[in-house]
Amino acid sequence: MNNSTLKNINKEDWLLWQFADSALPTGGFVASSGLEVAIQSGYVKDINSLLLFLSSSIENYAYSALPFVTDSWKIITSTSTNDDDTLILENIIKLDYLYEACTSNVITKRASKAQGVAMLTLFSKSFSKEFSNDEEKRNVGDKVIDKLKFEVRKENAFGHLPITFGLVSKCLGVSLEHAQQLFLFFFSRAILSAAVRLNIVGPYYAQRMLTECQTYVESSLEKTCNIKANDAAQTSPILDILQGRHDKLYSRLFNS
Amino acid sequence: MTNLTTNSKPPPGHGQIVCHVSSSTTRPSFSTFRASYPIKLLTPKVHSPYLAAAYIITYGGGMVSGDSVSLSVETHPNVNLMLLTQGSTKIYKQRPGKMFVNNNISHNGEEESKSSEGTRQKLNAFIDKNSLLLQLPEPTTCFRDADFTQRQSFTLQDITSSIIILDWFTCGRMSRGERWDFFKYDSGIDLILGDKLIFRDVVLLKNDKQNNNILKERLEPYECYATLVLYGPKIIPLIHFIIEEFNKIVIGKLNKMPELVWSASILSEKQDVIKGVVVKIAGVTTEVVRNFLINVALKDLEDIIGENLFKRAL
Repeated sequence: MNNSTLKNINKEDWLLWQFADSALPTGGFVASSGLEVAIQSGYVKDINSLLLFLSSSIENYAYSALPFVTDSWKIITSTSTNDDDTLILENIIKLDYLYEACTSNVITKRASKAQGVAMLTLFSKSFSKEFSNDEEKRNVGDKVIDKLKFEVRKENAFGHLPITFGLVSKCLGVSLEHAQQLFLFFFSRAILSAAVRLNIVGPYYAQRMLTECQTYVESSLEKTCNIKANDAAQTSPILDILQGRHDKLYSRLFNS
Repeated sequence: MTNLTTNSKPPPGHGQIVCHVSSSTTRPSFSTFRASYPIKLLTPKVHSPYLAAAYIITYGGGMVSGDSVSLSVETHPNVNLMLLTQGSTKIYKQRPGKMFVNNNISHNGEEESKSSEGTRQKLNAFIDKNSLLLQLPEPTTCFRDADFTQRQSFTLQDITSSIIILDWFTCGRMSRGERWDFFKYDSGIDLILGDKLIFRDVVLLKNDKQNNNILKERLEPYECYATLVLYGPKIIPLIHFIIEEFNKIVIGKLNKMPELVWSASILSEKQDVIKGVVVKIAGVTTEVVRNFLINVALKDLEDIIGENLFKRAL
């Protein structure tokens, strides 16, 4: 490799590293995605049951949430112009409402909204070009995200994570495949980071388990990467019930 | 809906029910009540005012691969209509000659859906003003290698319409040691208010050819799962009762999963106005779930449907 290729870092790669960095302020650290209640209920009690929890959670999320990332990513197309923002926003909000209808338990909804809105804030504060104050230079994605934030504030939209994640990834030029992989990576990492703080696995072993999650993510993606939001499904009714009971915990560390 | 008054047979596997009540009486009647093989419709005698009931039966008490049934149900204003089945709906494995086709799995683990028939069941229901539809079937039991897909769509005319939807399934033919041995169970409910989808629940359970035990691992220790949706003004007291019961739960540290576990989620347009509730239940036996339905989740329903029908339903 010569010096010039070594110095040229692909812009998407750099963004992916930033995205994957645990310092990214998306508020995911308050979510255990049902792990805390699963531990307290006696469902997860050792490494084997934690692995089962991970594999079924990842597949469930791939069937229920990933299709919304996929559809959302596809709303802005290469032919979208600056004047398409109203139509794009309309389609984003439609998808947001569909996710709301498909998600019955309030705890999952609450976590999804909090992290989804954090994703929009992150985009505006760290990545958008809005600081330029030049209306002309703002691309359609910036405009849509701005308007979506406004609609969420007015309570006309929810800002669910799968939808905002797909939209933000698209606006940042992340490919669909990378956005899908990253979405499930985030999810796996959040569960394992919660597992460490809940003290059922140590930080080194958690990293080993995160390595194993690659297989779960790959096999889930194989089944779900082409599923449309309209065909989303739940594949683990037990996790859905447990997650719905999170607020009944006598004492708790996490928000979901 | 067209041809309400014709008595001609609907196409194979189709059934149609339209129920109304005229202003001069409290006894509803069926303006359409017809079905073709393999569906059969029966109506029992009912003594509660404004209430009618229909049994939806399949010949032989079950369905096999290739069977596809579709039912449309419509209630007119002020009618309470209850839909029942006789015994659990049994889904048998594919017919012998079709086993090969249905087990044809492509390399990526997905079934080749075009070549697989499976068993399909569809219900479209419309609930008019001040009307209540009670969909209270026995649980679905998928036998070894069964491939079942169900879609149920319930459209409420407006906020005066009410609905109770019970959708439940068991792990299989337990007497023969079958536990989560079916090929696929895919069941979806849509609840639509006017033209707006307010709730969708799709449960997809599929065995994996690489790991035959995948469903067993994920669904144990429970043998019966239920989703119950309640919505609308006619059953508001029951909806509030369920939410109060759920709010009483406090989870301390357990070492073992309890015999029955359930959760309740509020359905509402705005945070403060409760219009409905979604209850999800898992139990170590069908009886544990049934008792919970009788004693908690469908408590006092006999006030609406009468003790006699309540006992028949559950």
